[in-house]
Amino acid sequence: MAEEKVRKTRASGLPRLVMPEQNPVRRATNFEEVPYGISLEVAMDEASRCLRCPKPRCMAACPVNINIPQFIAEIAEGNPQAAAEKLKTQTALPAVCGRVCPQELQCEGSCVLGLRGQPVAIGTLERFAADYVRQNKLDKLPEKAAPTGKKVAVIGCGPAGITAAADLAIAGHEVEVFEALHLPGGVLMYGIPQFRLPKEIVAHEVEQLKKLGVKIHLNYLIGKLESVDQLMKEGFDAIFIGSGAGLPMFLGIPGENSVGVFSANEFLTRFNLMKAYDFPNHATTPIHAKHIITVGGGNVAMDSSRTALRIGAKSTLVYRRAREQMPARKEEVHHAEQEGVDLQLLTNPKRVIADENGKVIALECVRMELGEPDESGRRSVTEISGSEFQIPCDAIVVSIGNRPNPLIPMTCKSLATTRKGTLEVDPETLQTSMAGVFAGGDVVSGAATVISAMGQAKKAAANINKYLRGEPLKDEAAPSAL
Amino acid sequence: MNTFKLTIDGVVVEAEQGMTVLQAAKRAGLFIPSLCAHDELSPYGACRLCVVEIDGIRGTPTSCTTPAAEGMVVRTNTEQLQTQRRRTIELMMSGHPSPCFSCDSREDCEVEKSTPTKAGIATRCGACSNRPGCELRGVAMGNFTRDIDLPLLYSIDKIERDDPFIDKDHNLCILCGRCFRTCEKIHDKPAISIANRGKKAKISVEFGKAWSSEECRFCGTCVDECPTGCLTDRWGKWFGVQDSLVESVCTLCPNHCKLMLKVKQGKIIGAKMLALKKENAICALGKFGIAQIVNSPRRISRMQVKVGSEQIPSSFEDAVAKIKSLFEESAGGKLVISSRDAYVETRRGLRALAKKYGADFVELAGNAESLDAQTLSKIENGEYETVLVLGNWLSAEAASKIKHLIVADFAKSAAQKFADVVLPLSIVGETSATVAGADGKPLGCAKASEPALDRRATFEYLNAVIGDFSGGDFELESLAKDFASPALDKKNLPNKFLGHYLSDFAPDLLKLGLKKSPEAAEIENSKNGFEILEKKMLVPNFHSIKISAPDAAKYVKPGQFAILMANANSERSPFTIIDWDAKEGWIEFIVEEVGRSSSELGSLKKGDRIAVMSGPLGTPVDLENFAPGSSALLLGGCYGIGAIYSIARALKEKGVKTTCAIEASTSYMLYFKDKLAAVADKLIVKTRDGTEGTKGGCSDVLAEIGANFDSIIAIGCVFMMKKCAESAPKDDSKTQLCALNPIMVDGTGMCGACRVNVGGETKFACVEGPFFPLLKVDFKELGKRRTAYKLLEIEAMPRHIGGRCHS
Repeated sequence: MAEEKVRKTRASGLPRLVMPEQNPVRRATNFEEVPYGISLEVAMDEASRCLRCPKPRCMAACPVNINIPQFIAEIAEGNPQAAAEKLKTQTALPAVCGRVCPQELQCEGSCVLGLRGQPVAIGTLERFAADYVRQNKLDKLPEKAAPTGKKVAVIGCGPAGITAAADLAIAGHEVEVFEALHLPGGVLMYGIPQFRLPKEIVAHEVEQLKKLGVKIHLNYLIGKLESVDQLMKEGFDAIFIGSGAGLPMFLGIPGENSVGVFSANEFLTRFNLMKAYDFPNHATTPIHAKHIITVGGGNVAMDSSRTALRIGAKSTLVYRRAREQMPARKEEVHHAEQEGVDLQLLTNPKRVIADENGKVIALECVRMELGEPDESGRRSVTEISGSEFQIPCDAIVVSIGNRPNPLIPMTCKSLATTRKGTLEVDPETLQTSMAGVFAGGDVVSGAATVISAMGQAKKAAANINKYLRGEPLKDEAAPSAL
Repeated sequence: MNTFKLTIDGVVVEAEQGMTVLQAAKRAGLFIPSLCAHDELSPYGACRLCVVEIDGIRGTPTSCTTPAAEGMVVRTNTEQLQTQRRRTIELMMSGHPSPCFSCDSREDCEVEKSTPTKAGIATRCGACSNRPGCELRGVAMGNFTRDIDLPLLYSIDKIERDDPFIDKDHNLCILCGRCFRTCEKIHDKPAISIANRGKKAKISVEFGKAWSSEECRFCGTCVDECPTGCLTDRWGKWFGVQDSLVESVCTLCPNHCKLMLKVKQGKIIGAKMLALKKENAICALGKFGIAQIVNSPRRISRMQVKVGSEQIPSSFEDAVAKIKSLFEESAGGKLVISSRDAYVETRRGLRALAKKYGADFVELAGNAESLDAQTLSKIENGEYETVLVLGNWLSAEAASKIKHLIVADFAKSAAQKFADVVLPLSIVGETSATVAGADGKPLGCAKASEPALDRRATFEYLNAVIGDFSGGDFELESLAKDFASPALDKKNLPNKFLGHYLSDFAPDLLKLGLKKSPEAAEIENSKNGFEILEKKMLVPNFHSIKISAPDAAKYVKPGQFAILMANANSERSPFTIIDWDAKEGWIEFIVEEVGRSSSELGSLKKGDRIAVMSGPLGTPVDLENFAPGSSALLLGGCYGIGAIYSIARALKEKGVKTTCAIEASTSYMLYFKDKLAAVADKLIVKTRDGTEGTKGGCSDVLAEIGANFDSIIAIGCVFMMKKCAESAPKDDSKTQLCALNPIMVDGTGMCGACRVNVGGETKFACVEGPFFPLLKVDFKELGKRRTAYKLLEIEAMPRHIGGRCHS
């Protein structure tokens, strides 16, 4: 990327922008997106803050290596369309990443300005550029290489699958995507709520993918129709598996099968993919509860507890460790608290209490205390004996993580898996134990973020290109693994 | 009044002149079973249950048509009368879908299924919306044995669903004549009567036309008086019997009719006449409209106050303060728009508000087309700075011209987006207030149901804004003149209420000629998806649907299912695959109508498209467990009859000696007998009422001969499989399986809604199932999890004309 020109200008020194947001009281009653977005003027001011470092630390911290100073420079010049085109060369989903990436741990967390003040609002600017071209219908498709005559199958149409499919189509391969659900988008559709990521945006990005010539098969569950081996036999030259981590974990405590205990996947799928908030226009039944307890401390737990508020329930979040250990994005925790989610930290569920009809009436919890850090540096927690107490509730959402769905390896014995059920891959090439079959995203790393899945997918796609050209996969040093 | 004495069953009772023997007995607290008799209706003598013996009178006269007379000696319960009544009930039951009545497992089953299955056709009490309120069932169960010796004459008549509001299932009719006697009493000339004779007799309007084309006004009183489930309220029927009846007033039109609101668990589920008297007649809107409007998803329920550019949910106090400040501080023109169909208190309050702040005042008839041109042009010219509007009278364009807008309304409207304050209103049955009666006198309306969330009456807000205004300057008498035309004639029904088109809330009103709102959305039928190649109703409520699915058809194996969605708004629900052909590229499903999703599928026709088919899913039956030459017993009930077919066929191909046992509630619910006989070595047929094969169910087969088989598979409803588990041989060395059908959302192992407890371990039925060891499944837990959404499933039911399968 050395040849790309980064214009050198003095940074403006303005304060960081404040993203206008829906009032918390108001938004806790609707499913509309929380931030309102910004105008071109505000975006230009914010972009003018960028120092345009010669060795941009933000770019190094980006899992998909977006040339951040460059796209920001375009915005500063008043060219959001050019900025979006620059973004599109590295990410198939800028409007999504701008909304759901943990920027404080990645680009913004590395921004030099952040050392002494506030980092550039990189996520907001990315979102702005992508929204600008979408809203003004200025999308341009990236140029495609000449057809290679090779066919690639992509399993799963979530963030990893969309990224890999786009890169592979741009490289000139014929790409077919296989999606199990009836709508494309994966976790962007069923998991992340409308108020954080409007579904129209996902639909738009998928439209762009189709315009690249990618064929998407919906309702097509690999492992129940063809297995991975069969796909190879049917004439696909390579396969990318991006099937995600869709198998919900439960607590394993007594009473967990009571009526009113949901996995976060079920709870969110009902309201996002199936639009139960529009019941009975949409037939999927909502959860009519007065008090919903969410168990967990990740982004999905935040999404669940905030969805609970929006359907009119009192929402409590129970997490066994302290605030500092919460894996969720800071902004999500902040938004949840602002909207009225009651955080019960250092609290661990012990058993679910149900009435004679098997319906949940309370969650029994115990208070925890922090111990010394373990080998991984995470502080352990221990129960405070005798501190058991009950929280009355009529629904519980278990949001303690997901594992990959075992269906694909179960039906293709040559795919090796780890103890955690993830696919075994070469960390440099992302090739699985089967030649020509690559994987990326949560199916490899376990439940992680959208952007890390996209980063892996890009890397896998690059290696698929090499594989299809017959080049050795390991002749040069690959960028560091995620 | 003249009174006299007679003797009934040895008791001397007093009767009044003109009483029948039945009435005399009833007055004395003596019970004689009866169905067609009704205190408010003319005697008819149709059901013949109330027969008695009277000294000096030959035979057994019906007590409901025999006038009581001085000195009569009446016997009501001799052995001969009991036999005669039993015969009468048997005759009724032989033409009525009665298998639940005769079933030996009835009591257990009804504990398991505490509410009836929401089927399209009432093929038995367990699939009849009127089970909780059925008088026939009550009389029969209270007084007679469950054995019926007569042959079954059930005719599987088509359910009539083409008329607004009323479903008609003639299979349930006992020709008691209450409906047309009711109609005659209320409307003089009855719209309905009995057509044809003998077995073909049925209630009908002239020439069997649709009721809506004839005199019928859809007052729905016949529905309330029907003793069986023959005539039902399409919208409200699955809610069951009300907990209470509250006398109140319908405020949807200026007639302000008194009526009874049916309330169940705090929710208004219907309405009926105050009493079965001509002067209490109500219209279709009162009878059917109120519940549909009050419970509509179009209602609004939160107070909103604009802060900056955003509407924020607010408290009552904030809303009131905002209204006050807007009126007090506004220097420009002010306007108050009222509606004549509001409560008297509200109308007084709005006048007082206008007077206090010097605002212009307009009051529209609730049914008015729109605001008058002059006011409208003033609004559009921006002459009004502050406007309070009651109801839906402003277009988005007009609303956008108003600087400060206050909207009080009960439902969503275009203007609300521009409002500084939105006040959600309580309406009919949710407010204690006053309206003007047709006589010009005040008429109190009682509250029957607590309004949800922030909903309140407009006058409650106004009272807080301007204080007491009860002495306001208007006369009730002057208002009474506004509403002279009785709306009982369906042609006079109002199109609007508070400016909203009523047909938006109760679409069946369109069939009565009401206007359609210009914004009403059409339901789009999917052009994408899977084409239906063939669709059959195998037996009532059971459909086989064959769709084109060339990709998936190649991979189906016996015992698998798929997720189907009839359209983009449907649920993802699992259905069992019963047949497929990889070469021809099709898959066939069995669909049992039990609720919204399945009835949406049931209403599709050949050539239509199913929006989503995701499958095949689930782990197929492991044929390795069935050795050639070994013996297998396959048990199927309801949809399971279809489900065992492909398994039986696969086992036959493998050389397994297969016996199939199928159970149905009754003979007319059996299907696939020929298909199963062709692939099984032996077919055993069981019916719950003994009308075909032998009486009983699959669990009886299992108890008798289960031990003789190497392997067993049971597929059916949870109750059937639970019964099978109880009577299965307790032998772990045998392969004994059941196929579970819990609630699923995705069906691919992602959500865990389908988790079941098998031998103490939690399993996902969609991926690890549907087949699990019969003896290890916790059926109690499964039953509870399956019924978790009972009430919501009722609310989701399709309720307008054409919303369900017509056959």
